Amino acid sequence: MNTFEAQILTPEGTVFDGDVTGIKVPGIEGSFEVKVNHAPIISTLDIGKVRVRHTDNPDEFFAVSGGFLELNNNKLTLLAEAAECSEDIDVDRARKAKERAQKRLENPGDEASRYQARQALRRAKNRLDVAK
Amino acid sequence: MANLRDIRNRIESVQNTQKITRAMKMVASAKLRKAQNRIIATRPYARKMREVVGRLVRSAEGDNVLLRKPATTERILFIVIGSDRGLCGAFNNNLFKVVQSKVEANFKRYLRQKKLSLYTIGKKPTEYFKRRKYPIDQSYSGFFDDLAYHTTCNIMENVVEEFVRGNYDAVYMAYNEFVTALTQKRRVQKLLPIDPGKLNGEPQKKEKSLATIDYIYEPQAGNILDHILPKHLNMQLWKAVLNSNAAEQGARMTAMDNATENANELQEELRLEYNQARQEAITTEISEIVSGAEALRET
Repeated sequence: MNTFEAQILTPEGTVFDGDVTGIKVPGIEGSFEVKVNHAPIISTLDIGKVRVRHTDNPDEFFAVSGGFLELNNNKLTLLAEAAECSEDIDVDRARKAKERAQKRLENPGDEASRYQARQALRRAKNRLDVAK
Repeated sequence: MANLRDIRNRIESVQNTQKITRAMKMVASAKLRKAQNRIIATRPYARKMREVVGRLVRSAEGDNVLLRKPATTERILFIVIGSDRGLCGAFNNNLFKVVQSKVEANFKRYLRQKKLSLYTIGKKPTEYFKRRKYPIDQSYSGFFDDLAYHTTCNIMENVVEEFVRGNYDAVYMAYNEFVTALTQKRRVQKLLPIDPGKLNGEPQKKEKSLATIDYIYEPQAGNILDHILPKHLNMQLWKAVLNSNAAEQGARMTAMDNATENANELQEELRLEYNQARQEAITTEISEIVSGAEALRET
């Protein structure tokens, strides 16, 4: 068997739950891929794309907005505050969010709100990127 | 003696009110089901989060701003989660009373020196505490119309920022916990600084096996903790908000059910009164006719 169990969980529900052959995640120190029998790991994730590899079906892609993953004994749990399957992404909404964030960045503000706007922009860009 | 038309009008108005309360009850019960499902949906995430946070806190030895207890507690924040709308029985008032008595018992000095303030979520708590001259730093209304995780996060991020800056030294949260549609449990919970003992103390079946695993941490455990603790707090608030939402719908459902029942009783009473009045009217009429006829015969 070269598959292992993987779950993608968010506070609003389970986004993915199934057996996979590999999962590529955007680690905070660079993206990496987890295969079967990987050593136990806890890692934080950046905003980015998650690639889920299946045995037969084509790969699935998810947009995640940061979070972390825990893996132990061939059971991977990815916790993200928001995660969307590429097919479910509302492109219009992402585009609007992107415009909003860009507008917020044009106005000067304190460092915290600029940081938030930058993050929002990255999230929106990531969603658009994954949706393609 | 109320006249017949008055009573009939009253019966009609009670009937109309009953229609409304019955509809509100149905709406509340539909919303309740949705709210319950949302609570259930958070569970896998919450469980894993607790597991990992508990483990990290132990291995990183509590070296995080959010875990650190300030030397002195200067300012206190209470987050009160109520509802936007009324007609839900004592849902709001019971909670507010608990908050008030908690404050009176433990933090009277802070309140007097204006060193205790509130964040209110929902229109009702805002109105209530404003009237009682509590300092309110932030209030959120219309929050429950479009309940979304990221709006809750915005609130929590705000709180965390203020805490890190030292504007608040302790943060509490008060909300109604959903037990069943009929009962709510009023809870006051300490959010910040996070008590590591509490994180460890939570019952976890897999605890032992987890503790012995030698994880790779990427980056170091401490950094991960910095990253995860705010998310853990977001989750705490989210759970409280969802619970409060479900509890509110439950309370409204019960309140509206009672109101519908009461309307039934009232209608029965009114109908009795109506029949009595009607009978009396007939009796008077008959006796008038009879005495009229009698008078005619005599002449």
